[in-house]
Amino acid sequence: MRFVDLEVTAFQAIASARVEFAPGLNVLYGPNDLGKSTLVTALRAALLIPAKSSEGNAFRPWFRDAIPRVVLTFEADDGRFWRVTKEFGDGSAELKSSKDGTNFTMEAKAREVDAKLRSLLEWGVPSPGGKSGPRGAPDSFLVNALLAGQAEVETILGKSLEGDLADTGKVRLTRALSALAQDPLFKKVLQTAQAEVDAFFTTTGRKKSGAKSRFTVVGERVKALQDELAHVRTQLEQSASTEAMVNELRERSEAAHSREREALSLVEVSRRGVEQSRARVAAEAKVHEARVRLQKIDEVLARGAALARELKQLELASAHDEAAKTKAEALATECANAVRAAEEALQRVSSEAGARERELKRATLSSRLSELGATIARLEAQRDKALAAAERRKTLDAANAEHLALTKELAALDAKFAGAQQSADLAHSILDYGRWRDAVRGSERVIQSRREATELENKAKALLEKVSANEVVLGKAERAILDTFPSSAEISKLATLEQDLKLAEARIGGGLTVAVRPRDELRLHLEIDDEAPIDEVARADKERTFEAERKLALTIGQMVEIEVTAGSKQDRQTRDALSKRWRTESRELFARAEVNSVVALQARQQELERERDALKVLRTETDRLKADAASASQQAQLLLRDVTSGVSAEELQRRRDRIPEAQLALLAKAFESMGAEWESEAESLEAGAKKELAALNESVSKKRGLLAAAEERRKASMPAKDEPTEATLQATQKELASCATERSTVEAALKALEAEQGAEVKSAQRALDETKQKALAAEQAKSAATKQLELSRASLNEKRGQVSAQQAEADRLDRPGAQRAFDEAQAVLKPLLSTPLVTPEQLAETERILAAIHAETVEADAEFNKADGALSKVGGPQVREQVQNLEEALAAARAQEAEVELDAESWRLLQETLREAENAEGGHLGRALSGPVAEQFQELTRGRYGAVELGPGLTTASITASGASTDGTEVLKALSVGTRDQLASLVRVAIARQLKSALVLDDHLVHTDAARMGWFVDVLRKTALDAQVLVFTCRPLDYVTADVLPGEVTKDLAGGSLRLVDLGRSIEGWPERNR
Amino acid sequence: MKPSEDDIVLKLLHTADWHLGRKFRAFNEDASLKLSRARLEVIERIFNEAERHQVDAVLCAGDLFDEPQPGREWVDGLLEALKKRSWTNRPVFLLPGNHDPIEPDSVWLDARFRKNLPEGVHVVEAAKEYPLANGCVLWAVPCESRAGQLDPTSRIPKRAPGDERVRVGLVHGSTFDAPNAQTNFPIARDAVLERGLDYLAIGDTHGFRFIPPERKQPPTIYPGAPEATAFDEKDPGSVAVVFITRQRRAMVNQRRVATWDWEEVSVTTIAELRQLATRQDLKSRVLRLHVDLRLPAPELDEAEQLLERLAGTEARHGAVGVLDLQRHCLELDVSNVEAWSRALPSVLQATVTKLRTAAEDPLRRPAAQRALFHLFRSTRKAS
Repeated sequence: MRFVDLEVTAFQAIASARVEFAPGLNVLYGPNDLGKSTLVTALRAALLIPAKSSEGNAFRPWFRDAIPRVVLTFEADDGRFWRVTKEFGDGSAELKSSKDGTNFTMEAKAREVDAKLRSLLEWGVPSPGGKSGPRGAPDSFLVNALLAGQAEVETILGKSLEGDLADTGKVRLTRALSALAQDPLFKKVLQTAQAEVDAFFTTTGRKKSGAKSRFTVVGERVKALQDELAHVRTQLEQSASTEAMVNELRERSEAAHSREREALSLVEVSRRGVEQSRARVAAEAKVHEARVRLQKIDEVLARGAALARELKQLELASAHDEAAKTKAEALATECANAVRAAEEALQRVSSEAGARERELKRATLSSRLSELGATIARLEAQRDKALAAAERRKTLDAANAEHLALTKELAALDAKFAGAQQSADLAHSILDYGRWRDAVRGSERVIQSRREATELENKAKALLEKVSANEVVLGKAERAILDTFPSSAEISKLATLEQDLKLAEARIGGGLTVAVRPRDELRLHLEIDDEAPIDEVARADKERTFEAERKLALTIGQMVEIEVTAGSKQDRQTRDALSKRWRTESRELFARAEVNSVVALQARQQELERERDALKVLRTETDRLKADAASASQQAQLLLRDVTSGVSAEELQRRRDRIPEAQLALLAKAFESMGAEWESEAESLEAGAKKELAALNESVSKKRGLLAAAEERRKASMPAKDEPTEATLQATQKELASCATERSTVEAALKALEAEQGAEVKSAQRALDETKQKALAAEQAKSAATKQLELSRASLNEKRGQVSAQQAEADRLDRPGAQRAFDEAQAVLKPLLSTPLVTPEQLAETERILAAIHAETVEADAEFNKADGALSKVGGPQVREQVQNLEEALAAARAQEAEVELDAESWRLLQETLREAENAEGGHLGRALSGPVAEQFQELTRGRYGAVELGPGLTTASITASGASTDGTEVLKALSVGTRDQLASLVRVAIARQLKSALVLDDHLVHTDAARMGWFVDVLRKTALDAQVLVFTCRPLDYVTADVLPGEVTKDLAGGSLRLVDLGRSIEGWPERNR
Repeated sequence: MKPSEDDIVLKLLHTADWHLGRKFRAFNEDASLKLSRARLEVIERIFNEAERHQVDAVLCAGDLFDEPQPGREWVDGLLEALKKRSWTNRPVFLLPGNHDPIEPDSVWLDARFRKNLPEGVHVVEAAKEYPLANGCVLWAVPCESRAGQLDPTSRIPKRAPGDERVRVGLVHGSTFDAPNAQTNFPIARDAVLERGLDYLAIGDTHGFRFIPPERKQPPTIYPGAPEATAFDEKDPGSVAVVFITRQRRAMVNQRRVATWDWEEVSVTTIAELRQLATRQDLKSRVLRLHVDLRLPAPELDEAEQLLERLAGTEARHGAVGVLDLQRHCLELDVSNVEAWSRALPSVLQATVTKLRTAAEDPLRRPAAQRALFHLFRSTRKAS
């Protein structure tokens, strides 16, 4: 603000005065009592004292009853000119304004004038009137600083902004000093931050969205990649479903092939089984046949042996009969000879020669008797031996019979054993199979459980991802709501303000009607209220009517501008004030909320409330998801813990390997038929079979023992090489009987010979008779023997024929061959015994299954080929690769976007924080102003005094003195009057300079020496470059040399920066006559 | 025993998976273009190897283009590389793979491409036998679709009894030991024996590999991509030079042709980052750098400068050929911000205090940390 001119009439001692001020330093000089201070008072009164106030009475002229009048023109900071006119006493006042300083329009009248002025000045003086209105002459820190009267110079040092009744002064100073408060480094940092923020955001704080915006560059890349990825993902999904189908069909086809291979191998096994079964049956038949043949041969051989034995006996009997016949013949011959001898004896006894002959005969007979005794003894021994041999043969036959019976029994037991063994094997195989199947099921259950666990884990992961996404959303949303959006109080305050503004607007709006009736055709330009301007051509003599609510500006051609405004001035001022507040307050809130009306703000507030509710729901949902994820994860862990006891794959394979491939179908059938209790059933089956096996085994061992014993007996009873046969026995017995007969004959002959002595003749006769009888008997015996011999020979021949036939049969039967055949058949059968019996029906069933599986395989192959063909068009792996590449690219772009976002956010945060800090610092006005004041004061006092400390409200709190041991407050108190005056002036100069506002110094520095005064003038000159300075002084030579003192009213020097005003010429006092 | 030159009846160069036209979307535009072009540039070095070893034929086992209809620059680039070589007795076999199957609209059947192919360059259009030097033969089977379940080697006839010729197979597909191999052109592990081949040249996976890895005879080889395409590829960047003797024994020599090495590095201390920055081999690296650092402001500033040196700026090339910087774990340690803020004016100190308080809120922490770091850098720069 600067003063332009001042007119004073009938004001205390001044009758009239008029002074025009220059923008720079104005030295207004005149002698004491001229009215310099009255001029200052008038200035103050024009600006601050209401015309109607009681204070105005004090301005009445001293020498006349006139109405004191002051007219002050000043230029406001915005370049607008204001002219205030006050007449104290009658209380009239008016305020006019002008853009050019020439043409003024009325802005306010009467009491509105002061309200308007105080609002214009912003000096911390509240509007007059009302409860809070000031009483008496208005005062404030800035009034003191800028317009202090002579007596008030030093008061600035004790004053504080905090004492002001209105905060306008503080606000104004804060605004002005904030730039001063800026440290150069701070300024640079702020500029950098601001430049960065400007690069990212619009002035309303929105992200820049133009083509060159950093957000746009990265955002578009992300968007493009997202679109592309979505497209490719769709392809991938299609491809994946086809791929999944192909995989499934391939697995199905492979499974079908595998089943077919299994079935084929099963069929092969069954075929082999059937062949082996046939072979086994054949082998068993062969074994049976061989055994039967062997038995037959053995029977034949036994029969042959019996026949041989019979033949032998017959041969012996025949030989014996031969011998008996020979003997009988010999006996007959002998008896005939004896008859001849008896006859001769009879003849001899009848002679000497006969006696000698008897002696000789006795000797011969005795010798023969002894021989016969020895022969009989030998034969008896031989007979005993033959009897023992016969006994042994009996034993052998019994042993043979027993051996045969045992062998048969053993064969039967073997067959039984094989059957039992087969049952046991089958039961065991069923157990193996069942356990394998169980393990497979177990493994399947384990796999299933693992799959379920994996699914649960995946679910938990997905839930956690969702949680994480929700938390990001929550974080952002909450931050957005909490940090930037205006509070309800602020919104409510703004709504009230808007309401007030509307009311104020409404008060102005009264409706205007302007009728234009041009005499000639005219170009009209209209601005009606806030609507768009209208340009039109009005025809001559044609009336045009325009209606406005509040304001209508009409420009008619190039001739005239007419502005018609509705409402009272006060209403408009109120509206303007409210409008100004509205602009300030709403702009900030709207920027923060990114809206442009209160309705939108409130709507946005409601929306945010809803968003808050939604966020609450989202928070709950997130918590629930977290819980779900934890629960899923726990379930997965539990499942995994439960399945850890599964059978390993190797064990499974080992169990599978134990099951013969060939028996698989059979076992499966048996296993299925057993149902749920298969294991106990199979175990009992196996146990039963094993028990039977054990019993059979025992029987077999027992039988084998018996067989061995029989064999032993057989061996023991086997005849020795020269063992006497039955025939030998019979022959021996016959020979023995013959010898006994002969001995009795010889004994009889001896007796006869002895009897020959007495009755030799008689006896000879008797002997002869007897001999004859004997000879007859012998002859009979001979015939009988011959007959017997013939019979024996016939029998022998018959037997021989039988033996020969038997031998031929035995030879034909070929026992070793039969034995070999039996052994071979056994050898063939033995490995076949372990082969399960497969029937042709079973084989047919397996082949039927194979055919069905083959049909399935063909079908599965066809489906697979079809799907594969479809996939080949899509190309799954490439799309997957493309998706992967795009995902990587998108992740990179997102990272870049996040980086840009973070950079933008961080610069904005820095800029905002710098501003906040600056505001906080700016609130401490003293800190801002202390520097320049202290610097100048130090210079003025040549370093005697140091740091001046000004309080937050600009109270001068302390000052340091170099080398002083006392503190700053003490130093301040101890300053001399002159120094205090100088310090006060420096503070005021500093304030004026910062405010760029006119400063009035009324006879200041009266206690200042010339040197310091010179320094001060320099300071004031410099200050005048920024702010107008009015110095009212009685010592102009402090400022200029005498030679330049004007002879006229005003004189401008130094290029217009210094104006000298001779108040002696400007002020007209009261004429003496009027005094 | 090393065979003499006379023993060798056939020399081959086997390459695959050029993927011409592949885009590297995870990288920025410049880097992506650099890596795409590298795929074309490596063909020169592959052909140089062919000449150096005087091979009898060059077998290119599929996926030579990244898609069936590649951009013209890649097609022309390949034609140019082929035309540069005026080989008369060195046929080149180009086999369509699953990325670039021979389909009606594919490049392989494009009239312009075919017309411009130099003589001696064969596009394998169908399963076919080709004569090679010294009575040897090549059986090649192309991919006719993007996916398939049929083993391509099943279309190669088995060796006839009494056929003593050197037989070489050329197919594209996945052996069963490759990940996700089960669904696409599966190649049986014993295909080389089953078909009576003396060498089976295959393509698909991007690392150099013997199948099975015990290096049994006769060999089945994946030469891998001549330039890598991803960080997780094992042993890429080579071709196979194959010598086959009269005794039908194949010897395989892995030859490196790549310019780029793909490397993944993590740094968890500033010292490691400093050390990395001094490495001399970074120019030829595609480097994925994971930075996991929490540093006080001065060290973070240093780290940022080092990273800038590695990555480069618009005005200056970076020390690393291609840098993929994973920096989300790089953050400011705010515990000791007072150490450097003490010297600042009070208003900036107040700013630091406020930001530090903000950094205690987990939601605001990242922005607050970054703001503190901006502040640090700005004050350092300004002063």
